[in-house]
Amino acid sequence: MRRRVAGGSSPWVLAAAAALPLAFLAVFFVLPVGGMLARGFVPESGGVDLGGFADVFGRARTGRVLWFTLWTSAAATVVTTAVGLPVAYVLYRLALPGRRVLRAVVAIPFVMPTVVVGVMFRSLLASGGPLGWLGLDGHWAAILAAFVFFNLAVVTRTVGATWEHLDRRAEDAAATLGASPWMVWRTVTWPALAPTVLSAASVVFLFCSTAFGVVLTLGGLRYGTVETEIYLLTTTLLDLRAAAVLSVVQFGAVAAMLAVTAYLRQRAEATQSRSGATASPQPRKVTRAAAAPLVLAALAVAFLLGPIVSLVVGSLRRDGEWTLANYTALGEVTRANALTTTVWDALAVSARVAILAALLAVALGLLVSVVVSRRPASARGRATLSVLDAVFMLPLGISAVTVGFGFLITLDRPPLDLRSSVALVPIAQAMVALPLVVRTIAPVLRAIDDRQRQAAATLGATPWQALRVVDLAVVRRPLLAAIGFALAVSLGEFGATSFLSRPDRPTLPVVIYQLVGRPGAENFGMALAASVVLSVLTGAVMAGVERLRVDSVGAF
Amino acid sequence: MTVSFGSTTAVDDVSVTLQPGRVLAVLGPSGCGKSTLLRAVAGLEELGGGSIHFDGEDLAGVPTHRRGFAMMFQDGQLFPHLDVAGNIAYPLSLKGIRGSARDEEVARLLALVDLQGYAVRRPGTLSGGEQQRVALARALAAQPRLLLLDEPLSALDRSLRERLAADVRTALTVTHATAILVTHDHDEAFAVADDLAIMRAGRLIQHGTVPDVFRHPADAQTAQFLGYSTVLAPPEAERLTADLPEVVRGHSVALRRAALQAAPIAEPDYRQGLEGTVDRVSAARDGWHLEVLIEGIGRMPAIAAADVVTRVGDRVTLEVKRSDVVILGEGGQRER
Repeated sequence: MRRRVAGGSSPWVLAAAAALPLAFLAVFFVLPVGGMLARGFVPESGGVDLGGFADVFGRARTGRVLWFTLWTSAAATVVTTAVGLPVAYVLYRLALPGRRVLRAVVAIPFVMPTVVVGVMFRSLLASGGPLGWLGLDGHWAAILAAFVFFNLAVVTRTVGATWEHLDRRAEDAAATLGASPWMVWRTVTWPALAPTVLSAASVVFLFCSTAFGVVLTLGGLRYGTVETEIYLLTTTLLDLRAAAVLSVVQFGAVAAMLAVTAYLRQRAEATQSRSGATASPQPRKVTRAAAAPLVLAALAVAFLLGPIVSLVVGSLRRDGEWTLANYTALGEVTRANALTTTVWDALAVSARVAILAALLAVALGLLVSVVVSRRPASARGRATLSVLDAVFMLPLGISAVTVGFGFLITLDRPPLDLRSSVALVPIAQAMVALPLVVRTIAPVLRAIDDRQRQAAATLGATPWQALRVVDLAVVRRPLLAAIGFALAVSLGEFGATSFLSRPDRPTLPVVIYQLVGRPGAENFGMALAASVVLSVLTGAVMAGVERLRVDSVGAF
Repeated sequence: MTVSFGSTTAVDDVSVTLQPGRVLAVLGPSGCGKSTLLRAVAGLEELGGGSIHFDGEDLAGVPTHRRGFAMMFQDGQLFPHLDVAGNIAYPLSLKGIRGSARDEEVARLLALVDLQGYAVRRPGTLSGGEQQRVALARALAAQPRLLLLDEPLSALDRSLRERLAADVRTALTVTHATAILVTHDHDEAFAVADDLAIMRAGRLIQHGTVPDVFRHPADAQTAQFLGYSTVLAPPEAERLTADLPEVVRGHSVALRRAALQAAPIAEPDYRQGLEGTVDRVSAARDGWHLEVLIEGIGRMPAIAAADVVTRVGDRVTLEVKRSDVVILGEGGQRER
C-alpha cells in the first residue's frame, strides 16, 4: 500500500481528531437514544419484549399518525420544490437588482424558531387574524403551508447555488443549435439540475416528516405526526413502550432517508463536477421571457413575508388598538401569564445557552469536518470516512424529542448526573446543530485541492503548518458562518429543549410555547411580541452570516 | 454594431460583411471583443447599436434558436448527459428528424470528422481534440445558415491544432458552409479562413482576404500580431533596405524572421552589404535562429541554414529577402 506523506495527515492524527466528537456523540446521543429505546423494549423483569410493535401497530391512531406524517410531508415536498425552482431561477440566475436582499429574505424562515412559525401562522389564521375568514385555524392546510414556508429556503438555496454556477454556455450552445427556451430547459438545464433538485427535495421530506414545534403549535390535538405523537406518548400518556416503538420506526425511516439523501447528494456533486458546473456566476439580464418565474417568485416572497408582517402587526395590537402593551408585558410575571420568569430573563437564558451550544457544536464540527474532508488513498480509509460522515449526520434526523427525553432518563444518575446541570441544554442543542455545522464547513474543506497542501509541504511546511496556511485561510469565513448558524439554530431549538430546560430557567421558545397554550388574548399577544423578539435576534444573527457569503450555509 | 456591458464597450462600431460560402476569421488578442462580436451575431448578447442582417433580413428581435446560426464553443460544450451520437443527433431531433434518417445523418457526420465508432462514447471519455470534432459535427448537424466558431482549437496543443485546423477547413469546404471563426491564433485563421478581420480593443482595424491582409498589414501592431517578428521605423527601415532595388523611404517595414539570412563573412575585408555580430544562437526546426546586432539598426532576429556554424561573437553578413519584408501603410486597406 502506498503511504501518503505530503499533505496527508497520518491516520493516527485523524483518529485522534475524530475521537473527541465520537466520544461526545456516544455519551450525548447514542446513550440517551439507546436509553430511551431500552425503556420501551426491556421490561423490568429483564429480557427483550418486542410485543410493543404489534400492540402499537394494532392501534388505529398509529396508522392515522403515520399516514398523516407521510402524506403531509410528501405534499409539502412537492409544493416546496415546485415553488422553489422558479424562485431559485429568479434569485440566482437573473441579474435582478436587490437579489442579495431577496435571497436573505427567503433564507429567514429556515432559521426561524419552529415555535415562532407556528405562532405566526396561528396569528394569521386565528379567527381574529387577517386570514381568519378562511377558517383554516387548526386545519391541516395550515401545517402544510408552514412546512412550505419553512423549507422553501432549502430548495432555493441548494438549487440556486448549483444553478448560479452552471455554465450558461451549455444553454447557449443548445440555443444556437435551434433549441427553443423550453427545449433548452428540458434537454440541458434540467438534466444538469435534476440531481440537486432531488437531493434538496429529499432533505425537505426529511425535515417535514420530523417536524415538531410547527405541528405541535398548529396541529393541536387533531393532527399529529410521529414526532408529536412521541412527545404526547412520553409526556402526557406516559406510554414509554409505544413511544419507543415509534422512535424505532422513525429511526429506521430517517436512517433510510439519510441514506437516500446522501446518495442523491453524491450523485448531484458528481454530475456537477462532470458538467464543469464551477463556472463563475453569469446572471442573465431580466427580459420579458422571465415574466412567469418573476411573478411566481414575487408571490413566493409575498407568501414568506405575509406571516412575518402579520406577526409583527399582531404583536403591536391589543383589543383592536395599536399599542406596545404586548412588549411592556414581556418584563412582567403576572397571574394571568403564569410564567416563572419574565420573557427578558428567558431571552438572557436562551442567549447564554445558545452561545455555549454554538461554540461546542463548532468546535466538534470543525474536528469532524477536518476528518471527513480528507481523501485517503486506500479504499478502506474512504469507507471509514463515509461511515463517519453518516454517523455525524444522525442527529439531523433523529427525533429531537427522543434525544431530549433520552437525556432525561439516562443522564440522571452517577456517573453522569446532569439533571440539574445547566450544561444539559447547551449540550443537547449542540448535538442538534452539529450536522448543520459539518454541512457548512466540510464542503469548503473538501473543495481545497490536495495539491495545495502538497505544494506547501514541498516548500517545507510541516503538516500542521500546511493545515494553517492552506485550510485555515479558506475556512475562516465558513467557520464564522457556522458559529452564527449554530447560534441561530440553538436560539430557536425547541424539541429537545422542551424536555430539558429547567422550570425556573426556561428558554425563550419554551416560554413562547407556554404562552400560546394559556388562554386569553393578552397571553397570545405576549407570545407574538416574544416571537418578534426571538425572530429579530435570530434574524440579526443570520443577516451577519449572510454577509459572510458562504454558499454552503443552509445548503444540503 | 456596438455591444456594451455597463460602461464598458466590448464591440465598438464594428462593421463587416461576409459573402455566402466564405469563411471569415476575426483575429485579435484576447479581450479585444471578438468573442462578444460572435455572441452578438448568435443573438446571445444584446446589440447596443447597429444591426445584423442575414440575406437582407434584419435579425433584431429574432431569438437565438430561430437564427439558424450554430455555434461551436472553445471547450466544445458537449452535453455531458448525452453520448457522442446523442450530442450530434440533438439538433436533428429538434428539427423532428428521427429514426433511420437521423442515424444515417449522425453516421455521415461522424465519418466527416473522422470519428467512426465513437457513437456510444461519453463526452467525458474523449480527448480535447475528439471533443472538438464532435462539437463541429454537432454544429454542422444543425445545417446552420451560418456557422460560428469561437476559438474552436485554442484549447488544444500545437500539433493537434495544426492537424485539426486542416480538418475543419476540409469539413467547411465539403459542406459549403458560410462561417465566422474567432481566434487569437493567426496560423489557425490562415489555415481555415478565406477572409480576415483584425480586431483590437473593440475596434475593427483591418478587413480583407487572407492574402491581402497578410501581405499588407495596416500597421505595426497588426503586423506583429500576424507573425511578423520585427517592425522597423523609417530611418532603420531605410538603412535595412539600402541594398534592395527599391529603397523604402518614409515608411515602416515589418519583417518575418526569415527576412534576414545570415552567412559567415568569407573575406573579412570585402564589404557585402549588411553586417552584424551574432549575439545569440538557438536551434530550430528550420535551421538556426539567431539574434544579430546590426550597427545603426539594433538587435534583429535572423536565420541561418542548418549547415552553417556560427558562434556568439561571430561577424556575419545578412542577406535581405524582399519576399519576407512588407512595407506598412502602403496598399493596405486600413479601416477608417
